[in-house]
Amino acid sequence: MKARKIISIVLAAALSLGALAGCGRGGDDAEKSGGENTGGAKGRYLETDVALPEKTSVYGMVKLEDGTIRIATNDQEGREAVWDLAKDTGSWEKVYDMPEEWRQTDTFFVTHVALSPKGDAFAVTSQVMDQSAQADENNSEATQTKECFYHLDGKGNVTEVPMGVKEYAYFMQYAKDGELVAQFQNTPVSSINMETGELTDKVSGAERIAFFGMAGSTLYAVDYDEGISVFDMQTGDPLPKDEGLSDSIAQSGTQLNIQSLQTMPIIFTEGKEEQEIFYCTNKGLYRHVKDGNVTELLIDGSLTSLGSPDTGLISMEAMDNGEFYVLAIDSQSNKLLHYAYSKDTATVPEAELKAWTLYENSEFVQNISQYQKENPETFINLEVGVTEENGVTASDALKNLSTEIMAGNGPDILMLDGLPVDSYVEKGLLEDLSDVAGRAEDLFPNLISAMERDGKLYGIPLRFAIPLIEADAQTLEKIQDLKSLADAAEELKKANPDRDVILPYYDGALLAAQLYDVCAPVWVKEDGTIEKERLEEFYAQLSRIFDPEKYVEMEIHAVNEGYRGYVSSLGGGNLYVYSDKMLLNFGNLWSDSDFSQLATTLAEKPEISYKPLTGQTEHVFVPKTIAGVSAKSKSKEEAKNFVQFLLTKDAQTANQGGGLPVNQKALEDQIDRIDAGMTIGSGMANDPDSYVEMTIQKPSEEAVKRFIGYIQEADTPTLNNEIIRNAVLSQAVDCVNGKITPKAAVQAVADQVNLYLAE
Amino acid sequence: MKKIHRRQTGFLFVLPSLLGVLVFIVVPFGDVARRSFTEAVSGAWVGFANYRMVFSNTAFRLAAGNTLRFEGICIPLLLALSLLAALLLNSLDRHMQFFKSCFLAPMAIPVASAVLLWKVLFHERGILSGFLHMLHFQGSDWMRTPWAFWILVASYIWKNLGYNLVLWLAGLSSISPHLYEAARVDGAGRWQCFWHITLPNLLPSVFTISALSILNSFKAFREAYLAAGDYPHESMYLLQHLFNNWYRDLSMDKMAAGATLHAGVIFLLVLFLKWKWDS
Amino acid sequence: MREKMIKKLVALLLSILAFVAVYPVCFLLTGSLMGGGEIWENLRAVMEGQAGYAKMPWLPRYPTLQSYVELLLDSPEFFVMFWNSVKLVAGILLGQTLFGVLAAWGFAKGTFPFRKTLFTLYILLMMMPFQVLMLSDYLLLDAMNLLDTHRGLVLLSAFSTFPVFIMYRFFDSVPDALVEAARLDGASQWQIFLYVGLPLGFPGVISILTLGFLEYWNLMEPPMTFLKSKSLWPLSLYLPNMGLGDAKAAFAASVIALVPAILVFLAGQDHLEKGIAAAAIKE
Repeated sequence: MKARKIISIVLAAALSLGALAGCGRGGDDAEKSGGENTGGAKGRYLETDVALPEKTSVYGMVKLEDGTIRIATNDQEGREAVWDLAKDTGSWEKVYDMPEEWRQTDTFFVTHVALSPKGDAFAVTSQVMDQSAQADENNSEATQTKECFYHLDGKGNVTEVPMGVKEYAYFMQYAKDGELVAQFQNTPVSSINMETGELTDKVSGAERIAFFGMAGSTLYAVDYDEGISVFDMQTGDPLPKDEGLSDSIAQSGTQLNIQSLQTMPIIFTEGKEEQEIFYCTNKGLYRHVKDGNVTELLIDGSLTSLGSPDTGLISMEAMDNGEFYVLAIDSQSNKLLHYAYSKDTATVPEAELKAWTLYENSEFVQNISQYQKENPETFINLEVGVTEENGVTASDALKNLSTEIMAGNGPDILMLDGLPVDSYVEKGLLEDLSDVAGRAEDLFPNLISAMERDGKLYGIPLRFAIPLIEADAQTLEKIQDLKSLADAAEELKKANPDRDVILPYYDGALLAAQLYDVCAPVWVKEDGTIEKERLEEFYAQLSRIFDPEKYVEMEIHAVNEGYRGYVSSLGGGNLYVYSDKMLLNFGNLWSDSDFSQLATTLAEKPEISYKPLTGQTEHVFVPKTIAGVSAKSKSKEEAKNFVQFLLTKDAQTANQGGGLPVNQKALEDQIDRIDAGMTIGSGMANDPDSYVEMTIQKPSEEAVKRFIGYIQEADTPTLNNEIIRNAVLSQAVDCVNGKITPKAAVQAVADQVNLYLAE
Repeated sequence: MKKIHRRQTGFLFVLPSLLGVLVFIVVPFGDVARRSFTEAVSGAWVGFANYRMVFSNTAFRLAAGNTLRFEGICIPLLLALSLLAALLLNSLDRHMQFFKSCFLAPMAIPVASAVLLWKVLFHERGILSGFLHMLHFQGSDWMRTPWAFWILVASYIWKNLGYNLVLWLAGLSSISPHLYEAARVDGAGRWQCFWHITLPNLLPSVFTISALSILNSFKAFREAYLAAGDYPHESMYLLQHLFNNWYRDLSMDKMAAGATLHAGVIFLLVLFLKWKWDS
Repeated sequence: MREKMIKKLVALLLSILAFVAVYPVCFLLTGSLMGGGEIWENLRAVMEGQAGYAKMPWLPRYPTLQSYVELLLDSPEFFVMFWNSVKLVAGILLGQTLFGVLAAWGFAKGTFPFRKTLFTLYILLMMMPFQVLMLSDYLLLDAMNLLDTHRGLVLLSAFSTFPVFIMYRFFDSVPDALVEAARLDGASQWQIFLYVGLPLGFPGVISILTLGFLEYWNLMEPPMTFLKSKSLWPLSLYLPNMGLGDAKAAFAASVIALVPAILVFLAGQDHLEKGIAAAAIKE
């Protein structure tokens, strides 16, 4: 026995010695084994977008009994209609228009349209009641609405259904046999009798149901604890739990908590076979056999737009020929996704690109979905260093990244935010991307060239923010740098003792965060130590700007370290300038919605103006989501192509609040899409007087031009260094409160940071 | 013939372990030593460039200094304190077992739990500051002051006192009582007994106890890292912090050179202790 | 009289020291028996940076097992990690005992060449901090296809030289005469080890098991580096991931992690002392 053990150990030793030697030769073994994988299985569902009737949003979709796909839509003028997808031409043919008097206005909406496989339909309209008539007993917050319910036959003839319920309808869907099942605010999931409006409970004994789905003779109800109960469609009686279903959903990591009333985390439909159902989540589309353990992933969510974070699911249909339609919505519009099996496409994409980001980045995930759809042969394998689930620290995540790079398993594409870029560049890990930037179109050239080091471009920012300052025009003229900003703040303080100069909720650290980006680039000396005089001046001016008498401590516990570290936005203060509650607002402009607020303020308040914020240095911008390509990558060209895709207008219009796009066309497109007429408001819960609101206006062409002009001036990227940033912010509170002198604050920062810089 | 047979068998007992040690410790260490002469990513041979870089690196000098200071203060302090406690305990007639259990308890506390305690104790508004406040002293964020180093020392001693105590007790128990009796007959006092009998007889234990104490001192890094992160106060910035950060920043070349140096110093230390012990 | 006074003084001094040593255990226990509100109330100064100071009373005002219930019932991953820890520790200790005890016997009673040199090498390797070998170990496991497996982690730790160091002393103290006598009786080396060495070294085995348990139950860096899947993580990585924000669960989890360590410790304490002691005495 002992002998055998020894032999096995000797073998292990020999193996590992050989392997180590192999590493030294540059990992050619790994390449070989990678090559063997590719001859694998063929056949995969490919996704295509079915173009919807122009400029419409979709209420719902159904597969008619003859197999035709039908949808109900609402166009830009607010008219509702029902369309069929012609089988031969693949184009939409209008079946009927809904009544003209249902046309959407500010006070009248069609809230739901459910389509039956038998051809008829059911609609809910909602009329906002005249508020003045209702405004009794200070009950102003509850807007009164009146809901009406209608049945439409196959030709669009309308009959009102006399419904007893006075509650909001949440979800409604027709079952296969033409029975309408709906869920109301406080009523269990019930079927509706079209003649009498009577409700029949379909989920007897079930409580706390969040939403439901139907597949053939079965109804699946998901409760608020994300449990799935099964009911018999006919009788409404509970059936035994489908453990196989629950298990496979849990295993795929799907969260079933409901986020909106429009979309569902899981949708169902029945298959051709007796016991067969299909369900779809963000993880993919699955085939499941009822009450069995058979669950099969048909369409991998991560290879299609199902996996994109902005995809919300509405409903799905399985066709007799094995194809699928999924009705979904992304951040911009409805999507009708069509899935057809392609025999000749490799089951698993042949090429794999590894991408790595330190923090979760929704735009990036969305872009990956987009790219994979256009390039079904490539799989982008995204790894996120720090997620809410894994809870590792950034430092540990980076260590793991280092290990993988050294082992030759490193990513092809890196998002450089929060990564030790200097060290990577020094070691030659990053590829020069000048050619990619050169090939890309419509970028802000100044933002790209500002990132160059010694004529090489190691990272391309996909997004950015721009620091701006907003005040009355006279004051604004006087503010030229950090010192004049502090002068102006003090002057305003004296002249307006009873008004806020800056946002009173900002403590020293948040205030420092607002100014960090426009000052930090001058703090690090050539030799890699801290420029103490400049930093001391920063703290000194910061203390002058801060007004301890006006400071209001926020009681919300959300103001934790993380929040302090990251928030620096112009958006928060704009409303207060707009409503004359505050005189000076500065910080980073992050998004089209920040811009729309700024533009609205300028349009309505001629005395107010804005310009790029200058601190200790000028023309600053804050690069975000900086894409880099590893020089050790084996598929550099593919990786570069992907980065180039990330710079296209299509990819850049993805918008989840992660910054402005560096593609000018995409930015203009975003601004063009601003939702004019929307009202935003803000205030502290305990102080009704603090409530302010504004109605967003569409920015004028001139305003957009001016804004773009400011962006084109920016040429200094901020110091992208979390360690310095955190060190500086951490001393700011004590400094502005006078607990420590600016000198002491600088010393504390230097103690912390010089250690890092010396490494 | 017999003799040869015996030699081989003795070796066969060691062989499985030796092979494992070779594969999982010696070979990786050889790999690290090799890397200390190459560039991190490209793997090109650079001679002693990495060592020069490391020696001229101020962070390395600080970390090496701190580590030396930490070892230099901790080890003698722990040895002395635990010996004192052992002597005190040895002079007790009762409750010896109870005290031993108490002193050994910290060994069982998970590092992360100990760190939780650190945070609550030494925070600016923590328990220590609160206590000082009652006495009208000003508290501070202790982990961000030069006291951080002493917190680390205290934590190390707290954790290892019991372990060393038992080691000393064992040493004490091996001294024959006759020696003391004889000395007392000769009119020696308590102090003389200690100086002329106890200490010389404990000397053989010193090697093992020191070696184990040094071994355990490397584990103090865990606490320091979890409590204060990558960049603690500079007084408790140890070599392991630096290696850690170099690793994070992909500076494997510097890390390998630093690690090899570190191992070299330990090697000399072990040799020195062993030489002292053997002689 | 004076003697008695001194003894009392000594006892008092030791009691104070013992209290300092044990205080953290009390601290964790008390904290774990508090409800979320009470913990927050006591630690808010630290958690929120608000006025006042953190405190930790001796006894909870409203003792409750709520934290434990929540942790044990509502966090299935806690159980998974607990069992991962058990599996890892069991595997490592098994390997260490097997290889370590054999090697120690060989070093103590063998006479092969370079015996002393090799043993010195073992001592040296025992002192190597994890960071030094981290990268190379990763490459090794990667090459052996053992990354992200418990087996890889077990293999790496099973060959620690620390148990050899401890066991060596035990076997060294086995009189050579005894070994010689056994051989004259016709026992093979293997039999001598089994029937003479092992029984005499038994306390040593228990003490390396106990020390090993305390060490590997708290293992942090290696699993963090070599295990990518969170489902494989041991309990020791669960705790640090919970900051003060999650103080309630952190206290309860600490105590639950502490319990096996204390139990093993109490069970092994006598032998452990002998084991530690044997290591300290030369010859």
